[in-house]
Amino acid sequence: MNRLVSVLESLINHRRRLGWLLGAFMLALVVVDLFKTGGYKRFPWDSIPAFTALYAFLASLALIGLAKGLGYALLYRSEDYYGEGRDE
Amino acid sequence: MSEWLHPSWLLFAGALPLLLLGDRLRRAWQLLIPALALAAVLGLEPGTYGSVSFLGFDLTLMRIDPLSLVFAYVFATILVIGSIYALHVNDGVQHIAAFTYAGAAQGVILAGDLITLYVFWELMALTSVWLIWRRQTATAYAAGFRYILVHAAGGMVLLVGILAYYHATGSVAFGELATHGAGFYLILLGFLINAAAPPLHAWLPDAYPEATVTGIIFLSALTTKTAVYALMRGFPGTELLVWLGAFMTLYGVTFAALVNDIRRLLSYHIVSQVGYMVAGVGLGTSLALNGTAAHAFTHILYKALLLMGAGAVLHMAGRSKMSELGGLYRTMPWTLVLYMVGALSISAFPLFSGFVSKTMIVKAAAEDYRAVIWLMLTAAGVGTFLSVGLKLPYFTFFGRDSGLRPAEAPPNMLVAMAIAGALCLFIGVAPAPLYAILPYGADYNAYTFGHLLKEMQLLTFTGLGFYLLLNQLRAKAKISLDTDWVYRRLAPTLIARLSEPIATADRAARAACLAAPQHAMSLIRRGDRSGARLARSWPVGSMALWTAVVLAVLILSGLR
Repeated sequence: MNRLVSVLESLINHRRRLGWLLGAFMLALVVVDLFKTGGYKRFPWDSIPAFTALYAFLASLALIGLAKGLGYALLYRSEDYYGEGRDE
Repeated sequence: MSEWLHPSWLLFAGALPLLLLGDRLRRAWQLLIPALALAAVLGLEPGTYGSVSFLGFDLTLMRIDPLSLVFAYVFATILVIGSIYALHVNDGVQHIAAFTYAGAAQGVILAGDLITLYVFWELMALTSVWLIWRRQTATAYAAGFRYILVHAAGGMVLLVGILAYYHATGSVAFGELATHGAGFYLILLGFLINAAAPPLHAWLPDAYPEATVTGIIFLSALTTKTAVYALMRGFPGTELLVWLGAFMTLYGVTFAALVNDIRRLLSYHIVSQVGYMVAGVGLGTSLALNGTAAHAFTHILYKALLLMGAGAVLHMAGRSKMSELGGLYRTMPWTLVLYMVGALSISAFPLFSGFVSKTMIVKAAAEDYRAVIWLMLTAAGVGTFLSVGLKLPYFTFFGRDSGLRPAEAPPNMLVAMAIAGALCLFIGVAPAPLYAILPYGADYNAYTFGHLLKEMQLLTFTGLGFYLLLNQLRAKAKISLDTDWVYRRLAPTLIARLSEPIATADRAARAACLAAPQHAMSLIRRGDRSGARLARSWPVGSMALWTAVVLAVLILSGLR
């Protein structure tokens, strides 16, 4: 098997451990932000530690919710809606 | 004759032989001409060339300054990369389309006046549509027709705008527009149609995914970015563009989340990324405009890389819907790795190219104290990583095993992707050469501790959201509507529904209008029967009398 594939496979096999490592890294990003001094004072939220982390998490949930809401309420149609579906 | 060579002429002249050359010579030619064009562009010196007077207009065929050069460089680069990617395609028409399209795009970038710009602008539409049609499916043919109709309408708006602008100012020179009349808004509208600004954007996600595997690389690079250039040149600091651009960033990522086809998903992210540039033009500060130019440069490279990766999947697996893909890392690992370089670049991962350009625009919004815009642009960054960096690769290369075992992409495709990937990494690691060619003297450092901390928080916590909602994100075997619904469904339905009542009303109206003359005719006919008043014969004497009367009246009125 291709060496690159075996590297990818070993990453997949260790995904649980990698997940924990990533979690620890994320925790570190937040902790560092708690003790960081200085930085910008442009917006009201600049003084909230780890605001970007919180905002990104909430924004990802909100975007998925918005898209899926739009999809189910309004936009999803069957693949041959325009009469062309699959043309393989 | 002064010594200068317009890169467009080189590309136009170089396009024709492609139809005649045999396969091996065609390949060599396809590498040679883009290389020469790149050399020609690299050799351009600032100044204006080819000033001619035509029908009383002062035209400037080539105006070279730092702003046009940034775009000319990256356009020439992408032609080299795209040509390598298309090397295996034995279809002269496609390659001719690519060369002339690239030549037309260079012509727009280098045009010093609005008329030259308009001619090349229209030429771009006429040449690029062949990159869609040469897919040679019924879907592609119909999508290409919609594409050319939208661009024809957009071109018309632009032309009317140019005429109105000339009427108002007496000049066709292309710089920051000097009036706020009809010309200003019509030209802006013409540019925005090509920039794919909602609600006038639907031509892009409609047509691009139907283009050929190799054609979409040129399409994604050229049309929207010439529009960004034109906006930078003509409309810097236009407040409307700040909001429109920020809206575009979110519109693109939201609709991308609904899409099943991987090339359509990436097409929606063109709308989103161009949104950053449009917002940058609107902000209009030197940091924002530099950010716009830098982001156009990096975007062309990483978006080409992403679409080349998706195209490789389509080329090898024969399908491009996430609901039918999965587990491709086993047989297409290099495509995956190179795709991920593009994905990390568009997501503004540190050390990749998007990080050094997108943060400029976001920072420009912050320096302008625009809180809402900053929040919108940042949320769009979340959506970008979510779809392009996580969802697409997960469901295409990992996820459920589709059982597909396509071979790795051909070497020429991988080489093209590797060149684009290397440039993305190089710009990300060493942005100084890019900053050096920006038009407004860049003094910007992306790699501050604050930027890195914020960006890593943004990306990792977006990943957390992805992990928690993974099942919600699974692509559906559906299509999602967009504003092209208006001309693909609403208008035809309305016409079908209304044609019968309109025909009935038309018949009734004509009958009503004809009733009076028909009545008169029947009266005349009645008078025409023998012995009736109109059929009676008149003596010649009375005719002579009346002729004399008429002559007398004529003479009298002539005498006065």
